[in-house]
Amino acid sequence: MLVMAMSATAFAAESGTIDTAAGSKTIDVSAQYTTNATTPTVYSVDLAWDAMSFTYTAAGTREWNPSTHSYKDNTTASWSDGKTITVTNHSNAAVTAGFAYAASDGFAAAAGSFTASTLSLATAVDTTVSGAPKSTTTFSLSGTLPNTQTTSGKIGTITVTLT
Amino acid sequence: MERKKGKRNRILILILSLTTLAAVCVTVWALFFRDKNENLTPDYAPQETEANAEPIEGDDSTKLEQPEGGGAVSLTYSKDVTVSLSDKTAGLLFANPGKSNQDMVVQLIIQDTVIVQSGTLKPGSQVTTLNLLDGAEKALSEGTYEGKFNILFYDPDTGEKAIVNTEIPVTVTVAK
Repeated sequence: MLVMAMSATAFAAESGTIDTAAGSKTIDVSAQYTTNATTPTVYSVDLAWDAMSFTYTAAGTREWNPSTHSYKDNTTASWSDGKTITVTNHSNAAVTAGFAYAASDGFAAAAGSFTASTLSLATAVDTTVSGAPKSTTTFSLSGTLPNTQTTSGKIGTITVTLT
Repeated sequence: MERKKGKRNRILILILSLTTLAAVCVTVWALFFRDKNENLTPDYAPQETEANAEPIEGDDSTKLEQPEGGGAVSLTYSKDVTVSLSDKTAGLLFANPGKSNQDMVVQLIIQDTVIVQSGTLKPGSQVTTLNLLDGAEKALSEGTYEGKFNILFYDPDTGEKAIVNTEIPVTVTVAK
């Protein structure tokens, strides 16, 4: 007797088997996104500063005393208003701006100071260009200026350190 | 008379000895104690534009608002620098975008020594390579240093140096 046998071979996928002929199996396909792309930090910072020109104004009188051949100083002096420095951060990372003043030789008696010696600016990621993080400090002078400095000239340097 | 002459000679010898001693002291100081690595920043912009400068592609930015008599600059940079001792060059990214109102000069300073000083960088230009100063490669060994950019700003019309300058700490990797 011939026995005719029909067989169906099912090729099972790794994660499942089809047990019956003409059967079906739903196999989930999954995927995962990975990336080797890097996002390098790009630093881009704008600095703007007012004209750093100050006037030291002395007012009052110096009275000559003939008996001592010397002056009695009744003068007072003051510096003109402070000037602004603005820092704007367009980087994809936070930035800190530090401010320092160094007097030139011969002008150490005039001290410089800032309303903020450090400004911390957040990353510009998720901001618009016009809405980039921005902050300001004001630089002022105190102390005295030699009375020989009768024309405007450089008396020091401001350094802005970006970290 | 002879005693007077003798006294005068002794004074003369004393003065000459003191002068010689002073000269020797100055020479010793100049040879062994003087700080040879001074950062001499130019008071006026260098006459020559940096030879390695390239235009910034696609830079059509509008000039920044500049307070009258003041300054406004934009800086684009990377904090990683490489130095090739064999090529005597520094690899970096530093740009003076077109919206700046000042020319710039970039110095790379390591341990108070100026290793690199660029020519003038006009607004709209950038550098990715700068040449080391003559002999600077002799001061460096392979490895990593903490250095800084010292950025100087100059009025593009008068060439006069601005009162504000900028420092940026960078990491410098030195290879053969």
